[in-house]
Amino acid sequence: MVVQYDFSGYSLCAIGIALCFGFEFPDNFRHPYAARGFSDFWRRWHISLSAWLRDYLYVPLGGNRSGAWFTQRNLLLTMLIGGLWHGASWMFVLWGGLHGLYLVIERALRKTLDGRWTPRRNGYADALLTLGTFLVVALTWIPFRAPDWPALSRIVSGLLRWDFPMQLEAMTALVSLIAIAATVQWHFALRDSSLETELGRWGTVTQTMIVAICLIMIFLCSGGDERAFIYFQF
Amino acid sequence: MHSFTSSSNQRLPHLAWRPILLGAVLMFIAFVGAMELRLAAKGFHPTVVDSEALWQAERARARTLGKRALIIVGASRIQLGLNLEVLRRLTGLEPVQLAIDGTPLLPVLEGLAHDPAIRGTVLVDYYNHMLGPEEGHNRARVYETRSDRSAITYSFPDYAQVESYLSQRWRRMLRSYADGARPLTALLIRIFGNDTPQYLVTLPDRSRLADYRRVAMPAFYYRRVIRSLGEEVQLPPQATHEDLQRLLESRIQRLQPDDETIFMSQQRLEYLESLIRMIQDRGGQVVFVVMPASGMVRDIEQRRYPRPRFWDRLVAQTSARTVHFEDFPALRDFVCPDGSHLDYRDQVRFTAALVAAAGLERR
Repeated sequence: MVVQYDFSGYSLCAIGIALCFGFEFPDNFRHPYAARGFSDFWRRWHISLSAWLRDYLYVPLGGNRSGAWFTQRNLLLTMLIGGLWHGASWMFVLWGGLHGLYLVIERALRKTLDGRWTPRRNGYADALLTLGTFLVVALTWIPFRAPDWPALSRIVSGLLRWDFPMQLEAMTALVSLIAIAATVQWHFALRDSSLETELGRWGTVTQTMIVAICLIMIFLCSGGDERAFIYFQF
Repeated sequence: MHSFTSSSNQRLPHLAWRPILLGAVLMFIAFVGAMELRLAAKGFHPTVVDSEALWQAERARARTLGKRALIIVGASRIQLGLNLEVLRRLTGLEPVQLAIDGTPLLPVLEGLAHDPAIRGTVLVDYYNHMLGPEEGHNRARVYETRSDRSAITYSFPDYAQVESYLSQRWRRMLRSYADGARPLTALLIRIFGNDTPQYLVTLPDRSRLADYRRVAMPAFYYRRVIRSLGEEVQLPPQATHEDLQRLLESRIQRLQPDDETIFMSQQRLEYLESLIRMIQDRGGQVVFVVMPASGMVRDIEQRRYPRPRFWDRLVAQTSARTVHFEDFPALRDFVCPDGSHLDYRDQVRFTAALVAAAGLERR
């Protein structure tokens, strides 16, 4: 959640500031937590990077033009290098490698199931696939955020223990859960839409209130301790 | 090759932006106005925010003053205890307040010692465990490290300086930012909650005024004692202040002295002395001051850091001037209402007494 809001938030800031100067930047995030599968996720997450990786790594490596085996190899290599792009750490390589692996498995599955089952036609299957993708993506953020192997292993073993002591206060845990559910629901509802389209649908009073709420939230969250955006290191 | 920019503007929705923005700004002003009125009714008033930018400005000023500088280093006790105008008048020096609440003294002292531009007097708020190993996020270390970069001065302000200047100007005018609070905190705790009334005011010179008549005593005092004790204290809801007093006294009775080899090892004392020498070699001087403490906070400190094992060892080994409040009748009788800090009403008298005790009078 932190990575998503941090990074998509400041991408939106950049888009907005550019618009003020008359430049139109494309979206960098398109409701990624509503992705149906991992290839869909990478069409929605950090779009400028994934488009660059596709155009300057995956395609020059041969893309899907040289048979199934080379396609899978190219996918894996692209994601490994994409992981490494985030920083010189084995954690990023692992994160990229896992996403590469998911893409390879998804591609193989899709080839096997193609024509026999399409989640878009089945609401429950669609929701299940979306939720499943979100869960796997969320768990895969662990190596992205863990500084080293011992930290990674501590977090993973903590997740697997039922007797692990509660790390968060009940209220914090509840707020976190609500934030997660609201985010996934919001992404799900706006999956095939955009903020601009949605804003255009509402009446002037609602639009005014939304802009006012944005201004008030900026004010409420200003000042106090300063903390750099996590993504600025990349 | 993909183009990520375009000079056309298709993505901004075609809405009635003028009434929307006007309406939104009016609602925003109404919200902020309502918050300000409510905070004013609760007795809050705008203050300077004791931000890093303000500290860095003072740190940069310390470099320009040469021998005229009277640089104050330490934590909240000295930040709340000294009146800079009185210091200026009595010493003839130019005070620079670099104390940062809740931080150890070493990072800033180190920075000053290694800065060839520092040639004045350094007044250090000595606090026993502040010489110990640094733990966790340490603002003094962060500020001092960043101050190296701010040593580079530009003739034209960069965006960060402009942003900092504008935001400080704006925040100094609003109660929502009083004492460096975030407006969200002000809304949740000060407006909807029952937070402590505003008893602390930061001045533009970074000194602070504490008005302890505004807080609920003795609850405020006991909270400070519990904080100094560093132990969890649980009492049944029907317990009285007398019960709490008895419990705290019994806990304090059981306290043992801290390990001086951790907080004041010979190696650390020698290192401290090397820093003092660096300042003295440039014609400067260092004065260590133990600020007053009262009641159970003082008892806790006396038990944890007995003078013979801590302060007296420093006095015996340092070439710096030393002032312990217990050793001077004019300093001894000040009472800290919360046990740890002086009330602003005592600032002027205490500052004058300290100047005399430290031998810093204008010559």
